[in-house]
Amino acid sequence: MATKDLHIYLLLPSLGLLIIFFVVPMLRIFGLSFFDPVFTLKHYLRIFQIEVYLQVLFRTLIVALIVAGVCLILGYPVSYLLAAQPPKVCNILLILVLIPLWTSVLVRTYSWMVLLGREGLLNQILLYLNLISKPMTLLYTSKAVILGMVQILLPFMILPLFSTMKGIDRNLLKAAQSLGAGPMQTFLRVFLPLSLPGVAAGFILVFILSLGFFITPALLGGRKDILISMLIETQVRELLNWGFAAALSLILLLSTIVILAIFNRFVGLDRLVSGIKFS
Amino acid sequence: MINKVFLSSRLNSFRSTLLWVFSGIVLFYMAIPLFIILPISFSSSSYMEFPPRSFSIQWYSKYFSDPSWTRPTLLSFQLGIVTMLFATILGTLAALAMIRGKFPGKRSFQILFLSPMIVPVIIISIATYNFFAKLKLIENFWGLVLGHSVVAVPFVFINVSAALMNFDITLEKAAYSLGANRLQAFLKVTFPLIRPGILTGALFAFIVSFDELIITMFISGTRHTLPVRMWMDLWLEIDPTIAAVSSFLMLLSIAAILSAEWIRRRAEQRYA
Amino acid sequence: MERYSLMKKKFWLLFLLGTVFFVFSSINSMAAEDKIIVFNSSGGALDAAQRKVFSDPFEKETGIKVIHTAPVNFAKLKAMVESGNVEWDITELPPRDMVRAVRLGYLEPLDYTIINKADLIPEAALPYAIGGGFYSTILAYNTKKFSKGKHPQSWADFWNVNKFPGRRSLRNSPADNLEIALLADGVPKDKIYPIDVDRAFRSLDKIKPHIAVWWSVGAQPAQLLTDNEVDLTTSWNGRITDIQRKGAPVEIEWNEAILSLSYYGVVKGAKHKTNAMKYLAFRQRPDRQAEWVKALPYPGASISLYKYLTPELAKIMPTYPENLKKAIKVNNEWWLENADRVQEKWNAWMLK
Repeated sequence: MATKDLHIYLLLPSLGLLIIFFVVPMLRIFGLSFFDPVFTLKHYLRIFQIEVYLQVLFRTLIVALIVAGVCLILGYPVSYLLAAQPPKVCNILLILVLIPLWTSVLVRTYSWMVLLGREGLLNQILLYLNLISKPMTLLYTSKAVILGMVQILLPFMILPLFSTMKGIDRNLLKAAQSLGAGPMQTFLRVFLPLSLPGVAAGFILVFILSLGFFITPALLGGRKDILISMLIETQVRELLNWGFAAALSLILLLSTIVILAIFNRFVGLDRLVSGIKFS
Repeated sequence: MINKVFLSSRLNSFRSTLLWVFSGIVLFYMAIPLFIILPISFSSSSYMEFPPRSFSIQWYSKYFSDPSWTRPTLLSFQLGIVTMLFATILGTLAALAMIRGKFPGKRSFQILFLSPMIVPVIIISIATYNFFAKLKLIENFWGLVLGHSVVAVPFVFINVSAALMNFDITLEKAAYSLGANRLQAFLKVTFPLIRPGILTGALFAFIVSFDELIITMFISGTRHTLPVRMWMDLWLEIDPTIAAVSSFLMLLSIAAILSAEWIRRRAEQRYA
Repeated sequence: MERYSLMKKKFWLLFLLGTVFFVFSSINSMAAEDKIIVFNSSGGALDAAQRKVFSDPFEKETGIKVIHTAPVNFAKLKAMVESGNVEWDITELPPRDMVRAVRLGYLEPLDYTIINKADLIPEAALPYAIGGGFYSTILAYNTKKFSKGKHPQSWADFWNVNKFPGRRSLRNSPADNLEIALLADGVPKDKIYPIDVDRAFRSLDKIKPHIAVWWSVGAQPAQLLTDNEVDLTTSWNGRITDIQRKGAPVEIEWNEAILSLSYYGVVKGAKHKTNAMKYLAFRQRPDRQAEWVKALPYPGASISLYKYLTPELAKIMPTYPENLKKAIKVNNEWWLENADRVQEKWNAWMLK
């Protein structure tokens, strides 16, 4: 079977697109970070010598991990429920999941400002119910940023999880049960492992998307909630330091790759990529 | 049905209720903007306040009668659909190649396919702008499609890969042994089973394109897409027209999903 | 099942063809003409007013069509000029970007035979750029919390949390804030530049714990005041005037306002240079400027403008003589030299 040859050809169109319209422009810009205009490492030295940049980078990675984690915890049960429903119910619930995606990020972020303000809806309700005696500061805090980002990114966790779960062969579960496994056991030892590709896909997706956010943290966060994309954006838009901005993003890219590599150790992305075969 | 498998004892009906309640809360949380934006879009006051004191449909009439809003809306839809088709085909092919194929350097390819999502959009934007300017692809519909596809393909790739990973290859092999050729086996066995993954990927591709702001700001020239138009408004003046636009889009998506559902059901009834 | 998927495929194919056809037809309608100019500005809500006051009357008078684009983006200007693919004829430029653009040679020299230099305020009539709109960063406060007369009347007052208790907001940027901090610390107006950065940050340290919100988007401070999220804040004057007109209980304190001027420049290599000069000359006419400030209190550079304004309107202009003498003009050269390191310091300072 000449399977191998054909498969690599399937890769060519997207490879072409990415190489010409992504890799080449990127290389040109990253080139700027090293050649400004002659070869120099000054941008990189600056990143490592002035602690604020690494601090912000670290924060960004932590926030992304938290957001992905919260999305996983909230999203897994919902996907599970969705996958278990007959098509009619399932589709209605899917609509509820998809609708937020149609709202622009700007608008969704803005609705949180309306909700969490000192005279916002949430405080109004809590005051009315006498649960608090004066308005809580919810807005312009890290909590608000996470609340906002999780809400925006949940669909990106639920949908991959859902499509993977839907594809899990029910017969395997029935087989396990007929062999004497209880519902909990069946879940833990058959369903859960089979859902892992979806978990990995969703987690990676949400994590990576979180790294690029800058509108939401800018509008909902406090002064310490600076994420690296915000810094890069300022460098480009206001200060016009393209070389430095490019250096910052190269560092971001590399640290993300390192994290994914570590993730790989534990979850075995390798195996997922090369394909799991059931016997 | 999973229901019967998991929720067959009395203890499990407790778990089932818990699951429903939890999911209900999460779904409500996801839908919160809807409950806020929709009322605001009907507000009669000129700045965003909640809850609105009195109601009017002025923001909707403003949206529909203003070409500086309707033209971007149309463009965003056109762009979204073409990008969706383009990115879905490319991404699905790539996923097939990565999951099924055996060739060296897979991990590098995987990183390559994920990298448009990792690199901050602002950097992609200026890099793309610089490059496109040289190629005279600015303010060009196909330039926009290419720019959007670069960021949309990874989404398709991830979703289709996940679907493919759970696909049992023996099913396809069985088809071969029954005399089907490769294409037939793919279309009739593999494709229907991985379809949820492909459709999810396609949907993400559309949404990524439709909601794309930063790259578009650079390469769209004088013809704005909807997010660019909204951003301009939001930066200078927060005015409920944005709420009307968003509510309209939400209603549109509900209508689209419901009608797709209706078509599917009718087809199933007819050909079952 | 087969027929259904075939039907679906046909549907999609048809849709795709229809879309492509539709799209191509609209692309063709973008052919270049000669009687046009491309005018780039901040856009958004101001756009309608720009058309009504300037672009439509201009087209009526000269037959030259003005195409509006947005937003203002220096990175885009740079890329445009360097690649030779110049989209804009005129662009708005915030002050620092103007200095930068001039230094880098991104602008065409202005044709003062077409534009009336005599009626322009001197600092607005530069060789490569023309003043577009004056705007000030001012102190805005909630009149329900601070009645007029008992309100904070200087930056030192803003810093005085005991005498003027209340929730405060400042912009999340060193811009204007360094000047404000020095004024609060007692530095006389004429000794602000060159800015003693360390002193400014020490002064900011004092107010930092009392800042509830650091605003980042132009429309935010006005929203913060109307939502009662804060009681006093810095803001650009136009936003506050805007919500005042809508009935919000806010007021502006003009003392120690930080005054800036945004500019318009003709992009180097612009395709419709002469038309662009004519448009700029048209915008400078005092009667046009008077119309403009009715919509937004960002007066242009016309000297004879004030002849056309009512007293009430004149008072809310940043360049109104009463307001002007209390204001501090931003030194763009200093900022251009120092913005980079100051921004870095600011970021680190925010995280402490």
